[in-house]
Amino acid sequence: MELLVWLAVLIVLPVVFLFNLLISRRNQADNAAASIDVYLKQRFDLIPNLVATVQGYMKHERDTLAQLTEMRERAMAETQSHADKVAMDAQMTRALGSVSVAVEGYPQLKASENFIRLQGALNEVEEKIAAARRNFNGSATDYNNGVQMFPANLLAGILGFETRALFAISDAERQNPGVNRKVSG
Amino acid sequence: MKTLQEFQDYFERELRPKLVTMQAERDARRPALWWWWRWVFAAAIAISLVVAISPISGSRSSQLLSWMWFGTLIVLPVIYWIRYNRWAAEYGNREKDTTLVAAIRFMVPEFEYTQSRFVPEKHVRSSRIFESRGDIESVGGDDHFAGVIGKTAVEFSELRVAIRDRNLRDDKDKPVMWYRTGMFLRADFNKPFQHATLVMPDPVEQNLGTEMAKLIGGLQAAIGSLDRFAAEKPAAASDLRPIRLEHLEFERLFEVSCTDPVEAHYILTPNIMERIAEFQKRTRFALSLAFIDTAMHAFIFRGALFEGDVQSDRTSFAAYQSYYEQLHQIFELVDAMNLNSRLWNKA
Repeated sequence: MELLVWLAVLIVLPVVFLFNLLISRRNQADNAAASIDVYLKQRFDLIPNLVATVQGYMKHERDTLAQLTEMRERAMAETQSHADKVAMDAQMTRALGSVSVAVEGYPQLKASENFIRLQGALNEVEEKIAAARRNFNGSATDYNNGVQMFPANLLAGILGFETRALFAISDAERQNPGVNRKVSG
Repeated sequence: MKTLQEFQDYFERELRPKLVTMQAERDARRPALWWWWRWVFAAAIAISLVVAISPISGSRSSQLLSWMWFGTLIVLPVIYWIRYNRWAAEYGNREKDTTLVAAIRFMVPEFEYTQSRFVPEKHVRSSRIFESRGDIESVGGDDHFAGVIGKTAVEFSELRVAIRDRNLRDDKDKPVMWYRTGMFLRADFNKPFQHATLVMPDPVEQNLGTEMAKLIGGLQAAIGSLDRFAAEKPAAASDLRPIRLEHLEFERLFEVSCTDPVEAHYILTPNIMERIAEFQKRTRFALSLAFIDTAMHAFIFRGALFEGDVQSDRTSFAAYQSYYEQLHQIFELVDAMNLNSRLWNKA
């Protein structure tokens, strides 16, 4: 009988420990994901202004601007899964990047005070999103390690803990964000 | 800031002649002090001899002589020590007034220098750099500099901080005191922060050295989640939480804690972490950083700064070169943080 009690303790205690560890890491990753949402929302809020400011100048980038508007509307209307958010973030970053590049071809737009102010706000938000992404990736990596590493993976499989997709970090962010900021700032 | 070559030329032209004269006087005075010290020994030996060969050994007179002997051995060295220190302090002050202040003013003419001031205590306290050790008991210092490096407004000074440990108590049940002396810098970060981010030297790295830190880091990595689990424990009585960053070298050298991990990531970009890690490896002294309010605060734990010296040869440039390096370090730190590039703009 005593042996059975000891065996139960030896099995239950590690299970409780691993379960709590997975839960705390998952909560941390959720928390980090929520902070990204705050900045993504700020970015979405800037999109209508950006489109309104640049569409008068940009004749050849109408598709990109329409794509930006469509992505914003979709994001505001639907409740997205985490994987969808990651995919949309990458798509949105690419679209905004191509707008930034296209602006170089419109000196009048580049000199417009309204655009400069908007670009400053957008850059600020982009920097915060980049920081929030790195923060999320750190938390999510810890969580993913917990889910995938032995022996926690045994419990994670049974209880349905799933790994989280990481946000892609651009080469500029990873290697030399200073240059990126300097140009944009 | 002047170049090292310019400073060396100034040293040879203006300072060395004064130092040669002062050092000659110093060395002439020191033998006199040593002579006095010899008399102390001679007296102690003479008394002990008298006691040893005294025919009245074991009597009250002998006991009296024994006490005198002990008294001599204790009191006279103390008197000598006080005299020597007073003389050393006087010489140090004289050297500072005569040549060091001139050297400082020459090296950084663009800075306002005040010998008797230090970075205001409110900035030291608000930086939270000394918080992990305990509560600040007193703050002192001197050699205050204020000015602009590139586009960055900075002030720095020597700082002496007494910290009362919150937990440790000595044999008499009084709180243990910690003393920190070094260079404290406050630089305009040109960005108002909503939260606090602290970058403190890794205690394992600082106390046990690089190899031991690597070994422990390796063990932690092998154990896997355990170190992470420990790191997740909140600091006692603090709103600061430890976080991990992705730069391995930086992580090995420092411990980062913050009240908001996103803001900490925002400040400590991979590029900035690389620069700070490089700076820390170049300078041999423990570096602490705090990003709070609108400023970057830094403390380089390197002991007293601009002080004269009675022991070493002061007439060679090497002695004064170290003062140049101390000041240059501040410029390097501002550069390391890329503050002059104005990457962060106040909203």
